[in-house]
Amino acid sequence: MDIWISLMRRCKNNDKEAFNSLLSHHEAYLYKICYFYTQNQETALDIMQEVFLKIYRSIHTFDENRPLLPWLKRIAVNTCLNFQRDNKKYNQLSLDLELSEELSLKDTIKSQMDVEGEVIRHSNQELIGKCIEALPPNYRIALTLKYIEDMRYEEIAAVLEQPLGTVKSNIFRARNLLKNTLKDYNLLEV
Amino acid sequence: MCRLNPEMLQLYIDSELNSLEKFLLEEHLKDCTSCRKELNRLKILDWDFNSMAEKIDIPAQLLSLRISTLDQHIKEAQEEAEPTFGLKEVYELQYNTLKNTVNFIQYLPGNRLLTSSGRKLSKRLKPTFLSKIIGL
Ligand SMILES: [Zn+2]
Repeated sequence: MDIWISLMRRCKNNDKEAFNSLLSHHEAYLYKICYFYTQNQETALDIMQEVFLKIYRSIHTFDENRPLLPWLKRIAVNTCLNFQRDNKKYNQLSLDLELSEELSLKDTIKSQMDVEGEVIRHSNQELIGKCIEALPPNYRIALTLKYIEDMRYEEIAAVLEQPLGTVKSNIFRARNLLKNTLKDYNLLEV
Repeated sequence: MCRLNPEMLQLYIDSELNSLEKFLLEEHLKDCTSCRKELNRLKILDWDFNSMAEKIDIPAQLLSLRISTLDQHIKEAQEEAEPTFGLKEVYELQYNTLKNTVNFIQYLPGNRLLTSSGRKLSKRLKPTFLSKIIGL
């Protein structure tokens, strides 16, 4: 019998050792998804606790004939998206982002950076991290799958169950927003 | 001001253009300084993103978080599933099984003959556990 299938059956039997072994193989990878999405270690760990629980609780429904990793990924992605749903700030900024909203989001990011007053001391990547945090969930999750998973647009659309055009425009807008913001600080010049 | 669709540059760095689109864009880049600059900015941003993704540290707390989460919930689940089966229940179950096994005799042909001869026989014998169950 396939070693993964036998491990899975032991998990379904509430075998703690088997669960530890299964999760230890995948947790680092799942954590990276959560971290890139939140850009915050504490929040990423909070989400991971939910991810562990969800895997434990729903392993019984997992079909052994299907690949495990996409199933785990989907749990991590959905947990990220559902986390802090009550944070209504960005929920309205969904698919059809108006130019005015885009500009106001850009202002939010800018003011966040100015308040810190540390633009020069920050590296590009620290600033990008802060910017990602301020993006709407739809943008962040698309960027996460693109850069952590190295997924193509079509694969991202499949995982998120969104139309290809939506994914394309979310990635475009997210990156455009960051590019324009960083450009204003002359941070993207060669 | 260049009139190229700005989405094209991002699709280009993501390798999402088909070969014709790619060719046309590369031809355009030869003559358009502003698009070349813009492409460079996007490339830097893309490089930063990739580097951020590669640099993510896995905190030591992740391991202890997994262990404590599993410890807590697997313990709970096992307590729920704890059997409450005593000796009394085992006897009852065995008794019922035996009773059900012999009940089918009632539906066999020649049942009455068997019963009457059984009764005659049982008059001469001491009642047993089995005879009590099947009512002979
Ligand atoms: Zn151009």
